Amino acid sequence: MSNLQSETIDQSRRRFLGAAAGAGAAVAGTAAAPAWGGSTLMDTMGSFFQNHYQRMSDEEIADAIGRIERRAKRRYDVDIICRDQPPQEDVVFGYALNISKCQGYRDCVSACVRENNLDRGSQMEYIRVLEMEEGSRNLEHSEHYYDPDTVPVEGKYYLPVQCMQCDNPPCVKACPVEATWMEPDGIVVVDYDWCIGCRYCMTACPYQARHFNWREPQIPSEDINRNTNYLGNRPRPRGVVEKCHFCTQRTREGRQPACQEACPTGARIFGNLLDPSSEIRYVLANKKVFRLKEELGTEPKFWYFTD
Amino acid sequence: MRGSQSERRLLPAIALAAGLGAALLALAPAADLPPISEEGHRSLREHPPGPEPDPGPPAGFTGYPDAPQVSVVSRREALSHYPCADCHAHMPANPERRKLSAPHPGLLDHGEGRFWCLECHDADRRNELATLAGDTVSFDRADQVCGQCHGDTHRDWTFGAHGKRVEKWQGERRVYSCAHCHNPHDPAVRPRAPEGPPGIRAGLEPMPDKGRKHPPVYPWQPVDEESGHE
Repeated sequence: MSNLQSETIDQSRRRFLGAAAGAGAAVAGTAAAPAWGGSTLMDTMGSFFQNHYQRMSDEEIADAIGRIERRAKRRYDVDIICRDQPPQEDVVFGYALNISKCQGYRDCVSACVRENNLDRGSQMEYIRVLEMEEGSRNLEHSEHYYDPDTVPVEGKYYLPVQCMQCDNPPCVKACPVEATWMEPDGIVVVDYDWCIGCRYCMTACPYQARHFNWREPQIPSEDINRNTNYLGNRPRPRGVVEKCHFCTQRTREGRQPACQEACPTGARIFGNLLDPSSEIRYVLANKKVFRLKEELGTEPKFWYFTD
Repeated sequence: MRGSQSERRLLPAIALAAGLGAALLALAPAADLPPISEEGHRSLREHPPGPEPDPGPPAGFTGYPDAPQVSVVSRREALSHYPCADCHAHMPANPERRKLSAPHPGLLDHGEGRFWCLECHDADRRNELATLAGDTVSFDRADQVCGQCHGDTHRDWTFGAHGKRVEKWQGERRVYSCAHCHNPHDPAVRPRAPEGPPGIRAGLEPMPDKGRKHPPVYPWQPVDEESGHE
């Protein structure tokens, strides 16, 4: 009862503030110099009072998306299209990667950076391709800064590591503000506007799959991917954690993730774990598969296999 | 609730008993059975099997059971000199092994010298490929030629564990053919340059030694003369 009451009070307070902000914006609109860092008072107030993604109504999400698009326009001078792509029914995504095929080209990495509007020139890369000693699975002796003239190098094999979309995700448990959660299609997503940047999830993740925005992503305007998703590749602010989200903007409409499409070797298999005729189910049923750090009980939905 | 459940459990037992009774009843009148033969026992089969059907010539590859519906991206359009019959229509096929000049590929580094053109290309219908059994195969379904030797890979490709699917993970399966990725005349994949390594995080200096070498943590750790590190 008291919860209900506080909610209604909260909402009426928000409506009042929204109206006040509208009045403020009307006043600010007459001024010549852009206040609020080029943003309108309305947008600034709107983002300040923006709720958690899962608690927002459709209208509030539409408002938030409008703010995201206007912010991208101001920041990058690009008209992006931000959508709120819902998960599909009866779909749980899984990934399988053939380590006998992977040659360490890192084409997946560069495709991912371009697709997901990642900061250029910093260490912000969702995929980390580990160069491993042949015959060993010791991750501590792996090297991901490898830069020979040609790959594959004799005596090495390559193990790309990205977010495993664990079914029992330790990062979700670590988040003190519930800014990250698992969606019905098995993808662990982040509400970048709710994240407080404490980075507990980064230490909780045994795969180092989460990355922190030490600066606002620096991307040349012409390189911005305009097709974005709210819980996906929309431009992120500084000081929040982000991670691979299996390209929600693509996979939720039936397309392959960018890393799979870019891989020239065909090492990457992506699909619906609930569909018995899917490629991924064939791999799981017929190939020798393993998962990284399986003993931790994180239940990754990312398998590695060999021919 | 509980009563109805136990009734339900009883029902199959009753049905079984009724079935047994009916079977016994059916056995009782022996008049309908086939006559006893002169040797004193009935033939084991009322309908003995006929002669084995003639298998005929072995059928070509008809696909795997339970294989998904797959459509293959056309390969013919990507061939620079297709259709081959433009030139070959008026040339008799010369089966002698020899080195071919341009526009044919000069190199045939496949099968360790066991192959020559006509192992895969049809000698008579120049616009087509041929299997070892002599069936004609379109250039678009080159997989049926490759799969004759690379059977496991062909099965994996059909089910989606090898090769690349076009654009979608959902819906109709369109896949690239073997020759889109592998040059059939020179199938080995050569090493190539990788994309660049991850950058250094903004504001940090690169490590003096790439990799896991780092300054000694404890004073008694040996120091490498060259780099000054462990």
